[in-house]
Parts: sequence; structure tokens; C-alpha cells
Amino acid sequence: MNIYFGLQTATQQFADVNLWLLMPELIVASAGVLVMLVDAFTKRLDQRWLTGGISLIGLVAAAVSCVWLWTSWTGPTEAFFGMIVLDRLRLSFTLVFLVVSALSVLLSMIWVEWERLPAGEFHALLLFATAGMMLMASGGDLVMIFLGLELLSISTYVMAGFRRTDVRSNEASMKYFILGSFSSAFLLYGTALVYGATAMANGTPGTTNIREIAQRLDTALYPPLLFAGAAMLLIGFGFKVATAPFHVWTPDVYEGAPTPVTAFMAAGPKAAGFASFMRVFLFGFPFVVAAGTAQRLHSAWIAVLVVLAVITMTVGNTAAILQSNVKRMLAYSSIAHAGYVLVGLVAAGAASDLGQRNEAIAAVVFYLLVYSIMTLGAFAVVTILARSGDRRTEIEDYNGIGFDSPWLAFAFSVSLLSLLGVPLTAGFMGKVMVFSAALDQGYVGLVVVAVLNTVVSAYYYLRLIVVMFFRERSGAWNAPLVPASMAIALALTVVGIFYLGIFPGRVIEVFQASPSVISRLLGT
Amino acid sequence: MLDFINQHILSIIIFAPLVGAAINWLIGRRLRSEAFIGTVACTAVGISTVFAFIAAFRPETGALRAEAPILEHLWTWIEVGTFRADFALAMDRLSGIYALFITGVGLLIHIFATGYMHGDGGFYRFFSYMNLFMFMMLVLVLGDNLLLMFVGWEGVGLCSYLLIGYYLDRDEARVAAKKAFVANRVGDWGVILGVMLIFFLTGSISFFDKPDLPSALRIIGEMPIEPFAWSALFAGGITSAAILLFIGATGKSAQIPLYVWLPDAMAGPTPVSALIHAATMVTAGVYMIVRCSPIYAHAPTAMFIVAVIGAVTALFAATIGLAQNDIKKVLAYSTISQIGYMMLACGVGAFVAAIFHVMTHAFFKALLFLGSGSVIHAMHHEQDMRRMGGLRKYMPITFATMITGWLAICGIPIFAGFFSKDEILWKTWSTEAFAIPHGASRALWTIGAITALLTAVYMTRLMVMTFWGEERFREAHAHDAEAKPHAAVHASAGSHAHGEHAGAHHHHGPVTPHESPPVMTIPLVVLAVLSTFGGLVGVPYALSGGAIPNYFEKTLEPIVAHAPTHEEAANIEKRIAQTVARRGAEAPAAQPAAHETKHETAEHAAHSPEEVRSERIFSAISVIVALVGIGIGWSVFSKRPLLQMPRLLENKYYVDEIYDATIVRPIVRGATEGLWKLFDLGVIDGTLHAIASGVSSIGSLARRLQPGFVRTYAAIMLVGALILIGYFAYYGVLLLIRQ
Amino acid sequence: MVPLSWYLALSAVLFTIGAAGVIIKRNAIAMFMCIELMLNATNITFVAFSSFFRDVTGQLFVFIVMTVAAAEAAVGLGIIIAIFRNRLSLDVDDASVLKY
Repeated sequence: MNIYFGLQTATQQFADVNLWLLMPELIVASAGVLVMLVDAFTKRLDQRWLTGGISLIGLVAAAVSCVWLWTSWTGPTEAFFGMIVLDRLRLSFTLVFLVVSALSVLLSMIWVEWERLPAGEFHALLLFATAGMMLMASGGDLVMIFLGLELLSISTYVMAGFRRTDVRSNEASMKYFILGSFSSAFLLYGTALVYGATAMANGTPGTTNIREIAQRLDTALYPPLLFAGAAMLLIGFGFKVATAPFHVWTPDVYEGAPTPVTAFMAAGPKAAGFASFMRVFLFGFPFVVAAGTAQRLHSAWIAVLVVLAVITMTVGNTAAILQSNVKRMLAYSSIAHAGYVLVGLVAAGAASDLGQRNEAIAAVVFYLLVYSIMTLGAFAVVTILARSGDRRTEIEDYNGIGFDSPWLAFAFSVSLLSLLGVPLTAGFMGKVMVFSAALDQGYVGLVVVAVLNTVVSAYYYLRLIVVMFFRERSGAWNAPLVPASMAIALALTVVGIFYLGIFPGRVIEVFQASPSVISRLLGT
Repeated sequence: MLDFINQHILSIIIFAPLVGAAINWLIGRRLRSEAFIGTVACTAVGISTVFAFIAAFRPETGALRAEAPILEHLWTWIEVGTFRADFALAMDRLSGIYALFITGVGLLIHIFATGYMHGDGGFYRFFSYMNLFMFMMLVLVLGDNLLLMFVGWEGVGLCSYLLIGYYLDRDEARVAAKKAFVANRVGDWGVILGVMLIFFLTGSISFFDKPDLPSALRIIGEMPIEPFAWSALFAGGITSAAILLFIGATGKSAQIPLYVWLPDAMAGPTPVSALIHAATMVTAGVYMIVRCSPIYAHAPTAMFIVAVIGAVTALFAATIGLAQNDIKKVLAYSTISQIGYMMLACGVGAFVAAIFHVMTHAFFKALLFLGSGSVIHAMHHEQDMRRMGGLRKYMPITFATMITGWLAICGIPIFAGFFSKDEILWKTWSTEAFAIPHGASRALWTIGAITALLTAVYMTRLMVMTFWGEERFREAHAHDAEAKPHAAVHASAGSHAHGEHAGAHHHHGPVTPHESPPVMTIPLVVLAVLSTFGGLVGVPYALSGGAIPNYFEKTLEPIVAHAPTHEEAANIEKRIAQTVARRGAEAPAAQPAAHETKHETAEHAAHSPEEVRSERIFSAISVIVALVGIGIGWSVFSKRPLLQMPRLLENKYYVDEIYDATIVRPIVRGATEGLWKLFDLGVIDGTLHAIASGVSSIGSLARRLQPGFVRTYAAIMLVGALILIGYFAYYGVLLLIRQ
Repeated sequence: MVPLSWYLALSAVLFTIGAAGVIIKRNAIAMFMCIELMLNATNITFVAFSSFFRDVTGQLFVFIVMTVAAAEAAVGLGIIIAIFRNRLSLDVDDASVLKY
């Protein structure tokens, strides 16, 4: 099979090149470049279908290659000297990212026309951001993760400010950019410190490879630097996934950014942040039994994450109650959900048993998949109702639309109920998985706080439903026509929410399963 | 085809109403044809009813005949580690009885509603919600594990919420919906934690033993009985689980302290009140307790609390019911009071009697509600009994059927309520349960008997004010001016319904009542028959002398847990000590068997001559109490139907105000200072306006965190970063020092 | 030879100055320069470790970081120009429409 990539055989001694392992990333990035070229050389007419189509094809192709990697998998592999790894964490996250991006493309196809924005640029940025997310999940090295994160961030900075003439979009973009680079600096400094600290007394230089870091923790030359580095890495990822107190950017940016971009940002980068977060902390600073630096470091970050999870959930949910803007409310809700995911992350981190750890990881990935789908569903409805310029995003704008626009209201209600975690919806399954993983590790208090938070969150989710169905409209209002691409996206999210809520077994099995089971499921 | 039906009979029962709801929502909405919508809705429930009867009574394997439950595994819903929840249905004797009366009474109420809701703009919406409710309620009782039961639990809550707020244009409907929602949410929290705890204790949440999945209830049944001590409540054992579930039951079944939502829920259409807030949903709490009877049998402290709360609620609600003027409010408080009886029965270990009362109550309370609905319909949506009177000659069928309901709830012999209520009172008096200290059973019985008296009084008052006496609806307008100050008082006292009546009243001129159409009276007649003869399935041995077997008890007795008596509790403790000493593997298995024989002998002992004699005496006392109550009611109210009742009662002991002053307002105040935001936002009675106006004060902290300046954000992040780095560095330095 | 700790201290001081500058400065360009300072402080750490342990990878990372910083600069300046066109101000405190 290496006929097409003769490079590998020729240079094997010199470089650990295996382009097969990078296939999904390569496909997405190439699709991005192709979209840019098409954008430059075609007329504006019909361009969105062209670029949107290319993007979708690219994403589907990447998904196919991802599934192919999975089925032909023989075990965790590395390439490029450990820069790129292939393991279950990466593959399941990659699939989540591809789902998010595909739905975002569907969401934005008509929207760019409403807003009279350049479709090609938008789709290219979306694809580059996706490539960045995928690199964040597949990077086996801190530097690779930093690169992926920057690729993602820079693309999303631009996307957040995509409505160039709108001051709110400008402001969101500026805030995101300044705070994002600020936190990237922390992440980078953390990388540098870990690199230095993992040097060994015999003169062996430090490393940024996550697997090697884990092996060298106990022999680290400068433990305090190692600890400070870990703290800074935590800050960097904490910013990306919006845990309190690094969540402050989220409400403003989500509110100001164009709604489809907000949808993408709430789903994709957050999942990507968690992918790297888990990669670095679960595999880089893992659970160890023997007392020593590694054990200390592990207990330190677990303790911190427990506290952060509690603060994040509480801040997100209580602040969401006070909001009058739907986008802002959903932004706070996304903060709260980051808190729930942290509960699962804590469980995965604390697991001493490998099987339990893998189950907890699968629970987190499943939660993020579910969360992405329902958030995209909710923001899709917000996009449709807000129309161009994001004009109607106040809660009053939703008064009584339930009976004029029943399908939209239904889709929105399903998404909200799922975000709340009502049984039979995907959100409920996600919560059950994550919380039961935490219960398995004995975090009863944490789970009780999380459940109480869920109860609090009922207030603002259901308030929107109440507003839609029990309120009367003050002014005249015409139900918006739902364009086909958006209708497809909405239908997919609703079906997905119910499918994952009622028959979650298959997907969970896939996330947890060993490769042989996957092959069987796919009939190969 | 037959095979398919046989294998999927339970699915057919639960999914038929769901299909009906979908058809009405999708097609009925377009057609806007009441005939079509009504037919679809009633057919859907009718299918469920027919199949429920088949499933319950088919020869050999019928749920009420066979020993083993009918199990139907649809798919494995959740499997995480050791946690497994199936999407599986089960019908055993308990859920069989529930399914029968839910579908049966539900069908009658659906038929009634086609007449009652005639001409309403949201006809399709109403019937979709009603069918959806039926689906959820059947999931609740037919689900074979705690989690699926919780799905139904949430689902019926949602439907109840939608239906209470059905009249979109009425403010009090929205407020009531919200209140119901908040109260139930508090209860749900208890259920979730209770289910989690049960899983923690047993590693299972299934009700029934299945291959590779043990039953949580059986595992708990094999555990030692917990001691009767208050500390057990917080020990995280069986007692804690039982209490957490009971918190859920107080929400759903409207018991103290979470009962406040039910009276307000009467803002929904009357068929909804009959179906959801009288016959079915509100008894879900009783279902859960009886279903989990092994848990309660092992948690004497919890049983004691259940009994006390039940008895107190029964009395408390009955006194309030005495002074209400809104016909539906009287019935609402009566419902709370009757559910209190059921809880009392559960608490003293008389689980069978509790279910028996649930069933008879479903008959007569649905009848009373539908009867009142018929009256309200005839009076053009007038609900105030002070503006009724003398209706018996205008509405003879409604009157006659209401009479049977009235006699049934009062506990006059032959009528259904007599047998079940009498059974509960007798079981309360004679209970030997370990959970109930000897003196307490007497006290509980006394409370129960006083409640029975009050029940007879207020029901007589209701009947007298509505059907006898002078016809006050004609001069109602003339009185209106005088009534105004009254109305103002009530409105300020927080009674939303009164405000509504004053408002509604202005829209109509004087009315001439008329009998309701046959679609409404036929269900009334059927329910009247059931209320009259329905109790005969459970005639106690003492009254029949064995001539009529007690079918009900024979059916249910084998599947509910037997609450240990004082003597048994002592024995069991001894036996456990021995078991521990022996550490034999077969010992746990032997224990329930021994349990069983003990139980048999106890049952035989119950039929000893002196027991029978005293049970008969107590039945006689019950009848006398009921007759005295009716007598008091008749003599007081037939002459002065408008007698001013004590203000304290009329204003429901000011509980709403007390809650407002002690819970809602302090929390609001606390929140203003930035504290306890968490709770305030959950409990705040929560009109959106209150939130909107409160934002400036409540949101002070959030504002301080999000001023919109990017530099502030950077500063907040930096502070957070410094704390984190400091914490980690501290750890690191500590490590250096240690080395 | 200058000990490693001096380089590290220098880098930490520069990083802190940068972080403080982000909070103190109101001009968007100045804030951006402070962030660049933080990135370059990090580069010093990389280079110091790299040269101290005679390992070339640390220095390679510096190139990657510089590339990323350049890309960030391009995008950042673009964003700042866009906001300046609409507001005619570079004061970040003026841009506070989105809040609470």
C-alpha cells in the first residue's frame, strides 16, 4: 500500500514519515486549499454551493479515511517521531469534529448569502479550523498540540469577526483574539517549562513528547518548573474549553460573533480543547501508584479540576438564568456543560483501572458528541430566527412562535430539553455516562453538585420553551422560511438527539470498543 | 399476527396513545375537525384499554392470574460498566391493576372531554397532550426499572405542566403551571438521588429478576432491616434511599410540604384535573412506594415518616377543603387528603389497602371531577359554588351520578370508597408494623377518623351548595357589587382562581343551566356504576364472612413486601446475627423463605374470631362517623349554604404566604446580597417579570465579572492563573523540601 | 558562563511584564505588542534550555513559535484595522458593547 507513498520506504531511516496516519488531516487541509483556489478563480454566482459542496465532500472523505484508519487499526501507532499518534482518543474525537464541521457547513451555506459575505473564505476558514482541531486531537507532542491550537484559533478569530462592518462582531473578534493569544502564551510558556523540567540529571535534554513526559516525571530535574508548567498548560486548555475563571471571554464572544460561527465555536473548539486536555493530562501526567513527583502532580491537577468543575458548572448555570439574550444564555449554558465534561475528565483522570479509564474517556467523548449536536441544533434555530444581522436574539423575540412556526419550535425544544438532560434525549445519556463514571471513582459530592446544577439549569432552558409556547406575540411576525440545507441540519440534529438518547449503545460501544469489534460492526 | 400481538402486547398498550398524539399533532392540526381528533384520541386510548384487559386477564399468562410478570424486553438502553438500564416493559399484578384503571378511567375521561372541550380553539393540542400523557403514564407504571419509571415520571410532569398551562391567555394558568413545575422539580431531585443511591447499594435498578440482571428490590429484600432511628435517615443506607424517593412522592402526589401546586393546578381544563390531578398522575407517588415496598419494609424510620406525613396531610387538606368555595378547589384538597390516606396506608405497611384505595379513588374522584366539569360546563365556566344552588332539577343525570360519588367518598357501605377507606383505618389501628410504635397507631387512626368525618362534612357542603337550596346563579349579578370586597380579599390572599372567577363572571350574563350532552353523561354513568360496585372486588373477610372472596387482596398480597412486625424485627435481628456467625452461603436465600412462612401464619391469625369482631366494630364506627359527618354537613349547610367559614381555613392556613415569607422572600433577599443565588433561582416563584425587575440587584456579581472590558477579562484570567500556578508551585516546592 | 537560572529569570520577568502590559495598556496595538513580548519571553526559555542541554529541538520550536506569532500578527492587525474602521478608536475600553 505504500506504492503511492514511496517517500516512506525511501526515507524510513531518516524520518519517521507515515502519511497514511495523517490522512484525515491532509484531506481536510487540502479541501481548504482547494476551496481557497476555487474562491479565487470562480465568479461569485453559485459560489456557496460550490465551496460548500467541496467542503462537505472533503469532510465526508476525511470521515471515510478516519473510519478506514479505524478498521485497519492494529493498535496504537505513532509517526513523525511521536508527533502524530493514532489511538482511540484521536479517532473518536476526529469523528466528532467532522460531524460538527459538516453541520456547520450546512448551517452556513445560506447564511453567508443572507449576510452577503464571501462564502469561499468562510468555508476555507472553517476547514482550516477543522484541520487544527484534528491536529489537536492527533498531536502526540505539546508543540504539535500548540500548532493545532493556533491553526484553530487564528481561523476562529477571523470567523468571529467575519461580519466586518458590524461593531459587535468586531468587538467579539478583538476580545477573542486578545484573550486567546494571551492564553496561548500561557500554554506555550507551560510547554517550555515542561520541556526544560523533564531534562534528566545525566544530561539528557528535556522532551515535549507526551508519552516521554509521562515516563520522566519522577526523574524530572526541576520539579517546581514541572508543576508550574502543568499549571500553565491547564490554564491554556482551561481557556479553550471555557472553564471558570477562564470563561470570561465566552459570553461576549459568543454573543457578538455571527450565530453560525458561535455554533461552531461552542461545539468544535470546545471539543478540541478537551481532546488535547485529555491527551496531555491523562497521558502526560497520569495516575501512578508509587509516591513521587508524578503522583503529587496527578493529585494536584485532579484536585484543581474538581474545584474548577464545581465553579464552572455553578457560574455557568446561575449566570445563564439572568440573561435576556438567547445567544448569551446559550453561551453560559456552554460554560456549564464544560463543567459537566470536566466531571468526566476528573473521573478519567482519577481512574486507577485502565478499563475504567477508557470507559470514562468514552463517556467524555460521547458527551462532547452529544453536546455538539444539541448545541448546533439550538444555534441553528437561533440563526434562522435571527436572520441577517443577528437582529432577533432577545428572549422576547421568541414569544409565542411555538404555534406559528411549530417545526422550528419543536426542534429548538428538543435541543433545549436535551441540553437540560431530559430522559430519552441524548443529553440525558451523556449526563448518565459522565456522572456514572465519576460515581465509579467515588466522586459522590461532585456528582450531587452536578445534579443540583442540572436542576437549576431547568429554569432557563424551560423558560425558553415556555416563552415559545405560552407567551403571546406582541407584534406581527412572519414565520421564516427554512432553507433546505438548514432543514437538513436541523433534521439531523433532532434525529441524532433522539437516536443517541434512545439507542446510545451502538455509538458508546464504538467509542469504547476494541478494533476487532469495530471491524465486525462495519462488516469488514 | 397473533404471535406478534402476544409478544408485543405491552408495547401496543404504551405506544397506541403515542401514535394517537402524533396523528393529532400532525394531521388533526391541519384538519381542524373535532370529530376526527376526538375519534383518533379515543381510539388510541381504547386500543390501550382493550389490550390492557387482554394482558391482565388472558388465561394462563394474564398478569393478574399468573405468578410471573409479563416481561417485554425492547432493547438495552444504557450499559455503562456495571450500570444497566433496559428499555423493557413489565406488567405484574401491581402494574396490571394500575394499567387497567389508567386506561379504563382514561378512556372515559377522553370521551367526556370530547364534549367538554367542544368548540375550543386548541382541540387538537388538548388531545395530543392528553394522549401523550397516557403514553407517559403507562411508561411510568409499565417500565421495568427505576430509570424508565423516572422517564414516565418526568413525562407525566411535562404533560401536566403543558395541560395546566393549557389556557394560554390566562395568567393564573401560567403561574400555576410554573408552580407545579417548581414543586415537582424539588421532588425529582429526590427521585434522582434516590435512584442513584439504590444503584449504589444494590448495583441494579431493575424491578424484576432477569437473566444476568438481578432485581434491586430482591437484593434489598435480602438485606438486614435497618434500625428504627433518626440517624438512619442520613446514613446513606436503605432508609436514606426510601426517604429520597418519598421526597419525590411528596412532590408528585401533593403531600406536605410540596402539595401547594395541586390546588392551583385546577386552572387547567376540568378533564385534565380529573385524569391527571385526581385519578392517575398524583397517585404515581403511591405506586412508587408500593412498587418499592421491599425498600420501605426495610426502612422503618422512613415508613413512620410516610405514615405521619400521610395522616397529617389528610387531616390538614380536609380542613382546608371545608372552607373553599371553588368547586374544583374543594375536590383538589379532597384529593390531597385522600392521597394522604393512601400514604398513611403505605406507612403502616398496608400496601394492598393503599392500592385498593388508589383504585376506588380513581373511580369516584374522576366521577366527582367530571361531574363538577359537567356543572361548570352547564354554568358557562362558573366555578364558584356560592353562585350555584338548586341545580338538581336542571341536571338530573349529573346530580344522580354525583350522589354516588359523594356517598362513595364519604364511606357509606356498598359504595367503593367504604371498603377501601375502612380497610385503611382498620389496618392503621391494628398494625403490628415495627415502624409504628404502639401508641402511634392509635393516634394515626384518630387522625384518620377525624379526617373521615371532615370529608363527609365538606363533601356534603359541596353537594348542598351545588344541587340543593335556592338558585343563586340568577341573582349572582345583583350580588356582584357586594361580593367585590370579598373577591378583593381573596385575590390579595393569593388565590388566583378567585380573581379568575371575578373576571370570568363579567363576561356572562345570568345563565340557565342545562344538562350536558350524552358524550359527557355516559362516562359519568359508567363511573357511577364503578364507584358503586367497584369496591366489591376487595371486600374484607370480616365483612363478608368469607362469602365473597377478597380478590383484590388475594391478587396483590403475594407481590408486595410484608412490613416486619415488632416481633419479627426482633427475630430477624437475631437470625442475622446467626447468619453472620455462620457465614453460610445459603443463609440469605433461606431468610426470605422463613419470612414467607411467618407471613402466612400472620395472615391466618388475622381471621381469628376476636379480630373479626373488632374489625366489624371498627367498620360500624366508620359508618357512624360518615353518617354523622353527612348529618352535620346537611344540617349546617342546607339552611345556610353561604355560611362564612373560618378565614384561616379559607385562606389555606396562609401556607402560600408563609412559603412566600419564609422561603421565597428570604432567598430573594439573600440573592440580592449575592448569596445563595443557586437556590433563589430555582425556588423564586419565578414570574419572568420578577426576574426581569430583580436582575439589577441579583445580577450584581455577574455584572462585576462581565463588565465588557477586555482588560478586566485579562485581569480575571491572570488572577485565576496566579492562583493556579501558586497552588501548583506550592505543591512542587513542598516536594523539594520533602526530598 | 551565565547560569541557566538567569535566563529563566529573565524570561519569567519578561513574561510577567507582558502579562501586566496586557492588563494595563488600553491601546489595542500596545496590548498586542505585550502579547508578542510574552511569546518571545517563552522563546528565551526554549533557547536557554536547548542550549544548556545541547539539544536542537528547543531551538526548532522557536522557529515554529515565530511563524505562529507572525500569523497571529497578521490576523491581529487585520482585526484591529477592522475595528478601527468602524469605531475610529484603538482604545479597547471603548469596545464594550457586549457585556454582562
